[in-house]
Amino acid sequence: MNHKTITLLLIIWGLLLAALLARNSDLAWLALPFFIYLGTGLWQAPMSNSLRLQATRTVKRTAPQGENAREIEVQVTVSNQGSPIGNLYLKDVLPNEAKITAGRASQRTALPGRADALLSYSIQEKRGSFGWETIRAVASDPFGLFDLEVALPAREGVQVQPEYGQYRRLPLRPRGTLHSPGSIPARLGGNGTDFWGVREYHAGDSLRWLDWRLTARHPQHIFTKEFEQEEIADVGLILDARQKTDVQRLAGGDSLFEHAVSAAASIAEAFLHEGHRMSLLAVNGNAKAVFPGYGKVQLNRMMRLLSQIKTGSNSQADSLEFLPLHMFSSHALLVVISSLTQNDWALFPRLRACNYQVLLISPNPFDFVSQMFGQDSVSRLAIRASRLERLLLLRDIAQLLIPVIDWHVDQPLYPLIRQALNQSFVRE
Amino acid sequence: MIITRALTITCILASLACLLGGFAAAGYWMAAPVAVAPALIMLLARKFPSSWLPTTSLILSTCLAAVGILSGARPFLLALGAITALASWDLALLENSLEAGQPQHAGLFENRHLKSLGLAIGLGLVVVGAGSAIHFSLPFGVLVLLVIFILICLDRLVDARVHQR
Repeated sequence: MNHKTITLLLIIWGLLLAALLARNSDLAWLALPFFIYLGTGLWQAPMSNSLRLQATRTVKRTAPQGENAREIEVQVTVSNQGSPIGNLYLKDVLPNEAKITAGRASQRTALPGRADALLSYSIQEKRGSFGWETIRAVASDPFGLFDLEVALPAREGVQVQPEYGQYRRLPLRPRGTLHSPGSIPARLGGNGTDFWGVREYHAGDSLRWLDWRLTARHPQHIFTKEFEQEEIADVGLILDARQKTDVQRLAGGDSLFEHAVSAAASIAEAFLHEGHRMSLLAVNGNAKAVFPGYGKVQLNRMMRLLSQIKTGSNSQADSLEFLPLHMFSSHALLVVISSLTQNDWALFPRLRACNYQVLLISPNPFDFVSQMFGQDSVSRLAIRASRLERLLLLRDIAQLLIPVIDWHVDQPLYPLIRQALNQSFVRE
Repeated sequence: MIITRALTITCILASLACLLGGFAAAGYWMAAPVAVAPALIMLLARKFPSSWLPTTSLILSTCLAAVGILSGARPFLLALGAITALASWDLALLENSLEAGQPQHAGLFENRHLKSLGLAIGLGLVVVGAGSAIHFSLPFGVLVLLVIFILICLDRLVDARVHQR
């Protein structure tokens, strides 16, 4: 019973009671119009067996994935297969923390038989996977006195991927490559475009690649030109999703981890677009992995994990030191994205000992939350000490011949990666 | 929407007129300012429809009508005032849901509501008219039994309807 019905019942009972107490029949007559009003509503109230509603939901993004794709357009069509409903209230149950940016998620309407009602709205969602299960429909009489509530199933899900930038080609020069045609010079002779060397002719070599000059100088011998093979690289991404390495800005609830996820998504998209093999290991107390693969399917797998990953903690696996590295091949280039703590240093000697090529991208937490720091002398000293500690840690890692990017998240990442990769090739 | 608005204001004014007329006819001029209060509240309620103001106005109008009847004023006018107050309460809430919800089938929604309201109010007026025209006296005991019977019927009917659904 809603407040309208309760009000009417109270008035009717009050008038009848007053009529009894005052022994006045006119008061009892006064209750009759209210009684008739209530009866009219009761007479027209919908019955559960005559209510045949069906709901269908469509969810679409207003922009392609990754490019400001957090705006989601939701349309719910409720069709009435039964008798006309004079008063129907529809309310959609929104996923967690959703913010409506346009339209309405609820509506009161009348629905004739074999007609549709459309509920349309747009929401802004954070990264993650979201699902709708039902829509709440309350059918009642025209006065809205007697409600009949049903939950209409209208399942749909949506995955909001992290925002990622479209990086241009990254200058990779890994020590080892996979033997599939690609874009990385493989330091091996074979088919390619860049001249690699000359060797003696083998049966089956194309006559187009004969080195006629050298052959002319050496009678009885035929030589063939060789070109540098271009192959694909094997890249592994390690994303640190431990709660202790994440910091949040008070204003806007911006999180450093979200920037790390966006960076991981951008790198994954860039490398997979170039045809390289990629794998992903996300560590949030538990290790969540996407095993090596290629192409769009792999990009989808990685984006799915990056959409769903949340920060977490596990006291038994709180350090990066004991990461399961067996999923990465021995000649893989590992890109580690972590804001790091003092205990994480041990990972990097281990990676070097396993002969991995490593690139460290470390989002700077101090720079990220600098506006939240106190301005008193003690706070400033503490921050300075922490910055120094971090600087020393990054320097120690750099001494292992690991290119380190101290990333201030407001800076674009692409030029920093490009510069770091170029410098590392020069050094090697 | 325009019809609903016009009807709301008409019903508010009709309720005011009936209550004032009922009290004036009985010579209770002192009660006239109090009779204006529900109308003012209802007019105010149109600005704040989601508040308790419409319900307060309806209860106040009904109480005034009941007090008037108990004081010996003409029951027909006062009952008419209560009925039009009921209509204005319903229309104010309808106006609110039309404005807030912007329903798709707004015309149908409004029409069905107004037809049902017309039926309920029309029947109510007929009953009140019949009540003022027909005079018969019932013994108190019968009246008590009748009221108890009506209350039980009402309770059972609502309960049965709720359980049936």
